[in-house]
Amino acid sequence: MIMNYDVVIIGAGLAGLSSALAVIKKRLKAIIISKGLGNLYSSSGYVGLLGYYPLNYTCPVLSPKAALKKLITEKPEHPYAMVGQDFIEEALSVFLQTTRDMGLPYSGTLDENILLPTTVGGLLPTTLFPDTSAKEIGKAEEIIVLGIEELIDFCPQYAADNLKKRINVKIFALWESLRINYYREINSYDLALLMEREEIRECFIKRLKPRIRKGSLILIPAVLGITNWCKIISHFENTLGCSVLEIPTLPPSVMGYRLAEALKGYLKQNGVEFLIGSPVTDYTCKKGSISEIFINSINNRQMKIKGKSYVLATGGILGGGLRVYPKEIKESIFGLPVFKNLPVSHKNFFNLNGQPFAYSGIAVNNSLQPINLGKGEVVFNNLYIAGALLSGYDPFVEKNGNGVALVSGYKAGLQAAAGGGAQ
Amino acid sequence: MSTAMDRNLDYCLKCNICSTQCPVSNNKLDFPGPKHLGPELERLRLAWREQEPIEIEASLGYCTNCKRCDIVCPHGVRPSYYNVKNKAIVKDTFSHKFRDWILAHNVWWGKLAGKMPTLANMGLSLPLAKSLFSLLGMAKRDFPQYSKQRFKLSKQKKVKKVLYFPGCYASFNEPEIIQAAIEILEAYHYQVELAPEICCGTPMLSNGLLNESMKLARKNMNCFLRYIDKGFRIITTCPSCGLAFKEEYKDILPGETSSILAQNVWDLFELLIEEEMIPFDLTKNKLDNVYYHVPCHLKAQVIGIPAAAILKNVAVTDLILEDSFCCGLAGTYGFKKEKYDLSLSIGTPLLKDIAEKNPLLVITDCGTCKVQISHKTNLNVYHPVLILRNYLESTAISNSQFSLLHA
Repeated sequence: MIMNYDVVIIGAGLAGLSSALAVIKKRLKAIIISKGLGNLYSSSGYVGLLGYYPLNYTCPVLSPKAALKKLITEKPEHPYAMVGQDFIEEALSVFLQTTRDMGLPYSGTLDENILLPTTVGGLLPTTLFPDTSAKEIGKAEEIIVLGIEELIDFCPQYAADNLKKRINVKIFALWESLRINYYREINSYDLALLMEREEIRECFIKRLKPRIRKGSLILIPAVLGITNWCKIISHFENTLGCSVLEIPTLPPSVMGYRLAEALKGYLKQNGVEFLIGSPVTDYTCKKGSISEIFINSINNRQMKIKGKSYVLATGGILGGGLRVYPKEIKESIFGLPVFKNLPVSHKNFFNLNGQPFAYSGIAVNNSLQPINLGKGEVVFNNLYIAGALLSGYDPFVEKNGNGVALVSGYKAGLQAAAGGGAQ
Repeated sequence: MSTAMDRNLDYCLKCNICSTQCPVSNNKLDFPGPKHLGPELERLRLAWREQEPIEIEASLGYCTNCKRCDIVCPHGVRPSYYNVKNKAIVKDTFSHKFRDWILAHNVWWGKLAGKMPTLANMGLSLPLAKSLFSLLGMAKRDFPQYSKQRFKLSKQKKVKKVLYFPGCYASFNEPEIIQAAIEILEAYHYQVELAPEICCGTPMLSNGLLNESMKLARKNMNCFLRYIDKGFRIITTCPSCGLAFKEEYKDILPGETSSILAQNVWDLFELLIEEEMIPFDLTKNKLDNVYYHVPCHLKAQVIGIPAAAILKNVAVTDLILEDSFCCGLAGTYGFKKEKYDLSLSIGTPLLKDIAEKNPLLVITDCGTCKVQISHKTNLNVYHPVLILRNYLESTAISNSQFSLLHA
């Protein structure tokens, strides 16, 4: 009688969190259940709606709106076609408003992708980004790529050399040290904690100042604070007289962490419950609707959780929503039919046109309900699919993993809130 | 120890989410963090086929065993499992080991002090005792006051039977918790018996006394299993005891016995929810503006926050539920001199949040969380069973009426 919810969301990545946003907008009661914290923590924190379409890595999409329209007509099985233009726009505006309310403001519109540098010096077409990243790299007079000696996994020369191939701006690479001594390896999260400390930051900036020309754009790995990034970034900018742009790092990604924590905090504040730490192991259904799901508590006793509707956002192969076997791919909780595209080209593994297996996933209808592959009838009336679990797209080459998660999560949440199917 | 967990190691892909959620890592940068001390070190050890002794870093002693790393891992790896296992072989100074041994055996001192609590409390507050403790490496902190145990327990036989395991804190320091739990359980028509043993072994386990804790675990398991065979359920009100029975015993003594025990343990509020035993008169006076601090070991049981689910909107109108913070005391951890400052800096966000929300009182299930909160605030801190018992009393529903409401 207590573990009863309007909407039960399985998965705590961007898709799951985004569907919870939709549910609380309808003032309904939601719970997010997840095996662990989602992979959003490892992501860049950027939301790219559509980076490349048609797939041509020399031509990034600059106007996602137009490209989306084209994609929706040309690829009716793509998740964006299932979500639809109107929901995409609504999801974006709800997300932007939410980021303002939760104190990590994002900007961007569907009219424009901006190109943001990656940790290897690539340029990522990005639709939504934190306000502090709203900087146009192509328009800078001079760029300094700053490496921090203590930080593993970031080499400024490498990033600078790659950037030089892409933009026509004077680019320099620079190393600077925090002069701290720890015997263990220091990752970006540790550095971000250190940057929170004013005395450490102050010393670092002081040493940096004579080496940097005023007015340049500094690209620095995203380590400028866990909670006070706004203050820390302006501290850098004001003291150095430069503009500062953070580059998302390899995991632990501080930019992904900030977004994940802020969203989670906002949802908690708005009454969403979280049950993190145990996977969903079983379910029962009645007349084509899921009646309840079970999680295995740490002592192997099953705990029952009931919802009117369910959102499944357990991720793809990496997230654990799909399990890959030698000749098969299975959906890990409900055993839903999986659209399989098995061949992997080993000859050209990093094929820029994508790998066919990436299109594997759950096929859905326009309400994001899972369907049978043959006749297309709905498998469960009150189950909605969101995020990387969806079939029909390749997030790795289209550069739209977070984009699909955000908008499909939002629509799935709305559908689930509306009650759907058997209710 | 469990081999299934050893294999689980391979799922770690070093995403470091665990380190971002580790209360110690966040406050002590030379602490290597759960990813390194857990799966990474274990991989190294296994690569050497366990023949080559790898020196386990002394910093492992700084792990609080809060288990936050376990529940956040997206791939099901449990760093704390390896930490507990390897803590037993950490090298440390003799004086620290002696001090840890004293702290790990809190149940002995509790039994002793419980016999003459007034004298013990007086003795503990003497400057001489304080300087002695300081010499032993204890932090400047007041030990919780000892109290005499006195309970009223009905002898009536009933169909539903529970064996209640209160744990050391409730037994020696706050027996009111035991009485309240008994009254609640009896009101819901359970025949209650008190467990003969008092310590679950967690203090030993987290102080690296692996063999001794295994011995105690075996003794406890045999005792519990006799009750389980007779149809009893095991009930806890201390989250750490609950966690030990539900998970840690399975880790240190894998097998059928520990699995059976694990499946037969309930947190008191978890039981009430599962049995749908929430007969309340919703119109009666309620508490307002109450802060609920969720202890790490309750969160680690992954049963939700059953006490909050019951008290919310029933006994308390405006419950501020907060599960983001670790109090930092971590059982005996915060009583150690070299860890005192760290313990407080881990607890600062919680204490700050409490100060900001300015509640009337604080609820928490864990005795040592209470010690930390009381150490730095002037607020009254209650176990949820006390709130529920008082609420039931205030609604003045007699025991017989309970059943009517439930029916």
